[in-house]
Amino acid sequence: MKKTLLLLVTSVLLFLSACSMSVSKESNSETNESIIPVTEGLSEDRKVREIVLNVTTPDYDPVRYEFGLMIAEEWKKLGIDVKVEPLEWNRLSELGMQQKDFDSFTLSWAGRAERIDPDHFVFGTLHSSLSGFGGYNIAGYENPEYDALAEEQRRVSDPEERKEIVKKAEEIFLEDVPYASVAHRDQIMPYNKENFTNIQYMIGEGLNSFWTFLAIEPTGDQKYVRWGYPSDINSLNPLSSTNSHDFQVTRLIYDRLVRISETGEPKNWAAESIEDVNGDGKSYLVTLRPGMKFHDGEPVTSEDVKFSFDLVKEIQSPYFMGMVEPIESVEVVDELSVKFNLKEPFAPFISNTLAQMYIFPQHYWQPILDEKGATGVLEHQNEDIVGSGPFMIDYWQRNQELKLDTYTEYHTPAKVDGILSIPYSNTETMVAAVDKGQADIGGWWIEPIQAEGLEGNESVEVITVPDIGLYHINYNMRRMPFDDKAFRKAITYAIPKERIIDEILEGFGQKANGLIAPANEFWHSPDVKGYEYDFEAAVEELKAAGYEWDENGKLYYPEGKSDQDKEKGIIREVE
Amino acid sequence: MSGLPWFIGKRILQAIVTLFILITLLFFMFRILPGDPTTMFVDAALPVEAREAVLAQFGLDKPLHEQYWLYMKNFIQGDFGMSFTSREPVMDVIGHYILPTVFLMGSTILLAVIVAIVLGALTAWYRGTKFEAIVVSIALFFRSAPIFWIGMVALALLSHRLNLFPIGGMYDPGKDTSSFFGTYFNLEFIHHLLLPSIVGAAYYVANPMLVMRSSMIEIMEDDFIELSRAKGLKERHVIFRHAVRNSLLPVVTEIALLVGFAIGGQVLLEVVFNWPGIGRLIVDSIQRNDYPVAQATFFLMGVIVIFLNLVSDILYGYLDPRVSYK
Repeated sequence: MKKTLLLLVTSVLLFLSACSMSVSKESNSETNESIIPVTEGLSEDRKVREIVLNVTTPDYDPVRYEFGLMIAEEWKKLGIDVKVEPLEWNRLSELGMQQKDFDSFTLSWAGRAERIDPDHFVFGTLHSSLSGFGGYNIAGYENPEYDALAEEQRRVSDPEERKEIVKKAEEIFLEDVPYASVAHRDQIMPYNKENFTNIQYMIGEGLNSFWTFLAIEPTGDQKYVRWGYPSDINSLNPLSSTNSHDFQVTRLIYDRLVRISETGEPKNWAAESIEDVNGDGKSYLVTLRPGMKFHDGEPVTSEDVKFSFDLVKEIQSPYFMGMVEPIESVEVVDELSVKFNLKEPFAPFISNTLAQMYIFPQHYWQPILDEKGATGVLEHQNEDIVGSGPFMIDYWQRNQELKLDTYTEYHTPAKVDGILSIPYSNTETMVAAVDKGQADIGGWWIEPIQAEGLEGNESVEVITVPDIGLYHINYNMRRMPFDDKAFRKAITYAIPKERIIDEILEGFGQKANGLIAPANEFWHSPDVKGYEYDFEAAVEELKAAGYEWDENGKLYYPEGKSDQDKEKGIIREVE
Repeated sequence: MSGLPWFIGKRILQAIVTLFILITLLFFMFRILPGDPTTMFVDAALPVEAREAVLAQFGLDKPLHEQYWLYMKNFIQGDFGMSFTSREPVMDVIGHYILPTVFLMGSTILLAVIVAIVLGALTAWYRGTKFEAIVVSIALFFRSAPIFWIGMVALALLSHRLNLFPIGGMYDPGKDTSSFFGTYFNLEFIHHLLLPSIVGAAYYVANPMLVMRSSMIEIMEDDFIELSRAKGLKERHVIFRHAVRNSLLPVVTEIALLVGFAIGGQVLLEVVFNWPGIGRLIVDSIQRNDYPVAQATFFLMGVIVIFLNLVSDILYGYLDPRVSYK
């Protein structure tokens, strides 16, 4: 009697589990394997070596860890031996980003305002000059035709014309697939709608954007907006800082000539006008807004602007030194005008240099530079930070809070009395504070499950912003089998993007086709075709290139090809 | 050559050698760890040249033995170097975070010790009763559960559900903290301090309590207890005036050990309760590969543990004249 019952229960369970299996095209494994042809008597020499897919630890980023595992399963179906190896971020960054000692690994370029301009993706991650030790061309992509386009888009200043070049570059990128775009993750962020209204956010930055704090309006007695973040800032001195949250704070204190608008275009800000003097994109005349003052009452002049650009070059300020690289010289024309002479035309100059540089007060920094030199400037704690931006410092208590007051004489004053920036020990404590009404803005994208937890809270609103960041998988083209375009294409076809969005991101994201995210409306070309999951196409790609499979379904190189270096497949060293 | 000065001298010398080995180990340990302080650069997408410039600014482009030599030379002069993330002298950085930790750790340990002594004495006195069984089981339960777990459960129940305690931090956002007294001596601070202290104390209480209990059981069999009873003293009087005082000795060593142990727990407590102290500084500095700060905080822990052991050894002789220094 008991036995029959057990049998019954088991069969019901089996039936149920069979029902819950998804019938989507992406997980239909049986037909997948049967389309793989078998060749007998293949030489062992031609067998494709075991490859490693490095992912982050689940604790650092569960998304990359999960989709790494999911993709590895698909690659295994193609007959490739894949080992998934989670690494601590520090280790991953050292091996992958710096030493380029990897086969393939999952990475995410976070969406930031300065990455709205396509230069970071098009040039920064793919130009052959950056494939050496420490460079961001992680895949080791080297294609002269592509390089030429990547360089050209930097020279052309007409946006429409530039967009065409970017599109062409993107098409070549997709043909060569040095890395595979996987997904753009939505940013989910909570705020308190009872205390504040007129919430503005921008792509790539969400609620941490400059515009959020400028526009936000109190509804009641809470006049200071409490901005939660899962860590403290490292330093108030942007000249030596390398931490992105530091800049989210200091950009509210220092002003910029240009700011990237909510929708992603550069917008004149402290600069009243910017003129391409000769129309060749080599010299720009910038005229400042009249009447601007630093927080200590000193006027903002063209001398300060020139000083700022010269200063960061002289002291080798890590964050700013790359931005001033294209500049040959800066000349003061009159009290409010300054002229920039570039070494050669550089299209991202306005969006990535003028919109990122701060205006530093010369009267504040010059004495420090004269007295203590470059080291003195870099080590200056800057606790009395003086800028000309919309907020001024009140105090900074480490790991407790940072208080900024609204600078009422600012040309576009904020509507709140100030900002209380509160560091939490992690995202959980931050979300709890928003839930409890102790923080008004949660400054970090939260997990879908945390968003669900906030649903019952009537005073909290959760926003979802499509991101321009890019989850992708780097292929190390310096190594076999990744040197072969057909192989890269095949494994890219085998990435189940739809399942990654549905199951791992729980719908909070979009499939990534090329380099530029759909959220980056101006630079995105919708007709660029990417790789959709297509197992048959993957097999076809390998078959056409001459790859074969043995009776166990393992993949073999085309005739005459074999791994020289059985362990790592290295064919080209990192310079 | 014997006596207290000789003993102290010998122990201090030992401590110095231990600390020297510790600082050397720490120096190499953090440098063997993967990555360097510039791993954050990826996040900010800084150019390759920036990375090189920063490594040069920190002297990390020099060979390791040269870095070590320089570090030791500065260290002997009391200079722990500059933080890589804030470029502030390490001692100043630690200075920003030390007070909150002192307050939390102090109150946690004080609470744990008082409760341990009282409960230890009572469980020994009421040996074999239900009271003893319940107290010991509860203490062991809290001792066996991870401290962060107790903390999270306590937060979920007492703060989120019942609203009895704040959800973390040292005070509610926006409080004026410019003065020392205004920051640390008011009800709001104590309200925030209470829950983490209780959670920490619940975790630490078992060890000293059990030590107290066994010591007490031994003492209770001594003749002088019998005598005090024979004198007709009240039971309460016998426990606290006579038995407890004489049982405290082993607890002193236990407290020294507890402090060392509590530093580890402090890290978790501070993270769970969002407390702005050294514990979070340790976590942050390791994550950011800020070697000088990480080295200095670990070194500081070593100093505290070694110093307290020294103190408890010396105190032993004072408390128990039968102990002699050789």
